[in-house]
Amino acid sequence: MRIPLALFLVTTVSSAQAPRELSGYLPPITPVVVDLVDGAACVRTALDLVENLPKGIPPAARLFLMGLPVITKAATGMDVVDLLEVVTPSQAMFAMYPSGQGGEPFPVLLSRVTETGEVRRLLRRVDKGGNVHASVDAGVLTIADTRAHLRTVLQFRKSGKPTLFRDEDYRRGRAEMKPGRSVRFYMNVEVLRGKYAKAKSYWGQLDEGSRFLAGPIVRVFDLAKRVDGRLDITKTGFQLNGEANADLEQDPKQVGRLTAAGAKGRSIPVPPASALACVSLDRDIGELLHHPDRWLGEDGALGVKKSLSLADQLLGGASLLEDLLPNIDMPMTFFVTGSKPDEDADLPRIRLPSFTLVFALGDEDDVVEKLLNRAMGILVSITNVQRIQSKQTRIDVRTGGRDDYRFKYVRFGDWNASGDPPLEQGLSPTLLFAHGHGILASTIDGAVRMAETLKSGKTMKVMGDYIALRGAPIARVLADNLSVLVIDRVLKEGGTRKDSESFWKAVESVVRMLEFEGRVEPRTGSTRFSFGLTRVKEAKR
Amino acid sequence: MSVRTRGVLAPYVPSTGDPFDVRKAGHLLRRAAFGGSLEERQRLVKIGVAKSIAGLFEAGSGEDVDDVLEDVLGLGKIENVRSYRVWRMLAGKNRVRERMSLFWHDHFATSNQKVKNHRMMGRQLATFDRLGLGTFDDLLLAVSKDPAMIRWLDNETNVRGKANENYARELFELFSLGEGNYTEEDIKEAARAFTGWHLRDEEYAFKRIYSDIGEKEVFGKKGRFLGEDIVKMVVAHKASAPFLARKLLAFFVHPEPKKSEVDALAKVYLAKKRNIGDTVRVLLRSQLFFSDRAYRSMVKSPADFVVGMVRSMGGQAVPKQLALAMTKMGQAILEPPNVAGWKGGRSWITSASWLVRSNFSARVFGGAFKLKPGAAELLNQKTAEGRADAALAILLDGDVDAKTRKIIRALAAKKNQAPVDVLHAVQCLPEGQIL
Repeated sequence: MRIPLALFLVTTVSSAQAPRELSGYLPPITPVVVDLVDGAACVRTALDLVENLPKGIPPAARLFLMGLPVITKAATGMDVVDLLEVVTPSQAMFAMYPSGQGGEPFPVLLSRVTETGEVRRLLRRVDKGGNVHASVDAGVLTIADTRAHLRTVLQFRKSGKPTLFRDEDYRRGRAEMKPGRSVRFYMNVEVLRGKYAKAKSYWGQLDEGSRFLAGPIVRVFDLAKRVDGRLDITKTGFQLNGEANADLEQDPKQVGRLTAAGAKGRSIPVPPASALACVSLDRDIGELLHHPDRWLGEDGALGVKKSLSLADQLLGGASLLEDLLPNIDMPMTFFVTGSKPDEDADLPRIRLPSFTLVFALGDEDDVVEKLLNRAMGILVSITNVQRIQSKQTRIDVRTGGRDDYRFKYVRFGDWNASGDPPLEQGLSPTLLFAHGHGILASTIDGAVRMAETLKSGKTMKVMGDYIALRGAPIARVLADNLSVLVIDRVLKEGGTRKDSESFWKAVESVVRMLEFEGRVEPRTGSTRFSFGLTRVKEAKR
Repeated sequence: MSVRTRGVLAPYVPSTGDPFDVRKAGHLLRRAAFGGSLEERQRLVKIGVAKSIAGLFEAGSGEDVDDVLEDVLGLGKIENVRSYRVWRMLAGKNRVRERMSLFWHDHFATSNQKVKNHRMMGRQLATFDRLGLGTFDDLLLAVSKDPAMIRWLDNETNVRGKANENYARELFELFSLGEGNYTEEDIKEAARAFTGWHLRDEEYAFKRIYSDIGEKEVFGKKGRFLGEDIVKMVVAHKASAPFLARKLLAFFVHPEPKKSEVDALAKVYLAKKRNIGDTVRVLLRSQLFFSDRAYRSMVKSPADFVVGMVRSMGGQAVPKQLALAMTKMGQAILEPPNVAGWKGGRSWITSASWLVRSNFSARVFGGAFKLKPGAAELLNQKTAEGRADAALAILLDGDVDAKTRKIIRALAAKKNQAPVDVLHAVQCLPEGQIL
């Protein structure tokens, strides 16, 4: 399905009532409807964004973006804002139109226009090759992807039958619309599934590894009949909010069992200031490991059973399922944080951030701490056998202390050669227990920082799945690794080093000013989702 | 020191009957610099043979490829180092140096299949880049201490009282002297001299505790020799100069050099104080190099074929894709089949590898890279004859017999025949496989 994303990005809605006018031109089973109103207002916003591009954007890209209005003027003879005011003066509607013969739905754009003469002149100007299939009739501009499809739409309209698009929820305006700030959309996912899904179940198409992580989210789209939503466009970014009428509690496959907290809210530590990312997926590892046959194929389930046997050995004969997991409060939260390297350490060329897994402990007898510390020692012993066989230096487990915290960490030997050390030299896998939590981090610094975060007691409430990405620290990691990224792109994508450097600097400039937050929250009878992409103000960097 | 060379190695002097033309410039670029575009060939003709050769030894236009080695090694994985080596061939400033590094990689063939360390492999080839055009003395000593070589030929297990002869054997047989110029006793004794040449943190480390400092007898001389002494004795051995001369001739001039040619180049090599760069300079300038005997006398290796094609078209390409293509054609850089290197010659062409070459050419000409304006202009010739001739000029210096030219022109004249199909046909000619 190809939905022109640009339409989302350049349009704001000014009237909550307008969609009902044009929805009369759509048949009842139209699978996708997007209301677009007052595009000119949004183009003004977009132009404002372009004029305030960050400094790192290369001149060529800047010129291209700044040149879009010029290109538009050359092609149409009109300023881009004027153009939108002519083409979508009050309301437009993009839809995937049912073909009527069992074929795939096709895209169509309907727009209520007032200056019909101007629109016709514009169409003549841009359609030199006869490739724009458009009609202006009774104050409505209709554009389809082919001439035949245009005819289908026009015939439906002329039939005069009142069998119009009548989804009751949609007509009631269930998706709230804030005037002047949003694009509203509706998707009949049941129809889309019938047309596009290779199988009846998207969840069934997931590979085994993905079923655990993505399964509950994907299953929502298996169960939902409709998805409503709203896209807010402001000068600081985009916010997409939506709701699918699917409830995992009612799922015959009971995929909801993979979630740990379900519709209950939970607290997670507030991501520290240096955090690049925070991922808290509501998943219960215990359910997967206890019942691998339920969620995985024969091979996958066998693999899990073998791994459990190995894990029990690593735990020194204790049981992962019976002794360890019951003492950990699921779900866990994963953080990627900036990490300050040891000043006197030889560092590898690639500067990785710290990867940290945090979990709340449910035991008072330090069972988890004892078991994991023991497993760490055994794992290092096994690793050393492999390392010696491949002529690598030994590693060892040490007890360390910093800022009142005691922890166990894996130490790689000192690096005495002249070249940059291998990537592993930048790691010091650390296990730290503090403030009722267990912390497993790829560096000591990452573990201690997380312990400090826990000590502060700052938490935030989340429900379901939560993902946050912060552009500024991500950009710092990109900048720290620029030379490596540059040559990597040259080798894998071709081009010169100079081109590659420009590319990464542009990426870094854009990423630096963005923040992303996504949530998928189960509610009674439905699942809500929200994704926000925000432009961070300079002062906040 | 200037050395006057005579006979077959006397400098080639262009004349009316034997000019330095596009054909000869193409020959020079293919053999010494992985090929070049038609524009470049024409430029070389203009500046003449002497300046052309001198230019190939200097840093020309292209990328600075040395300062990114640690970045590449930081990426991890041998595939990245392999792509990096191909990128150097494609875009490096020092063209002869890149080609010599490939020569040394084949000569001191070391494979990551056993070394299993992309950093060591990358650094070994960096040693070839750094010393490949210097004296053989310096290079051979550096290779003897090279971590990848130490691991490849098991010198880490070469200890006092239990000498491992692998390195000493290959040092004599494949790296410097050739069979028949040493005895088994020489190998055993030399191996003792390399005891304790081990590694620490992926770097050469002399471990005295494992070193045999006792007296040894090598090539009839007695002494408390260590590895450095053996290297000095080897490079000074009378068999060393002809051994290297033969290999250089087989790489640059003809797969089966004559004894007189070998002797002549060995003399130059010795006169140049075993400096490889100076020796190669004389060789490339020689009448022998530009002779009919040398011209199109060798089969293109996958590296020559793949990199040469892209360079001929003056285009861009993705190093990773080229490296993959070369591997499919039988030349996985950093993974030669054994310590003797790639067999080369006619073995490069098999029914399977030829098909890979043909398919690769089709992909390249089908748009896998961008044509530079010069080549594109030629392909936009209005007549079929013009297009055919342009394709032949770009890829084969226009040097084909009348019958072949007629076939290509007929192909170009076919209705709806795309220029890329003509290029593909030309590249798949037997001449397209010849260096």
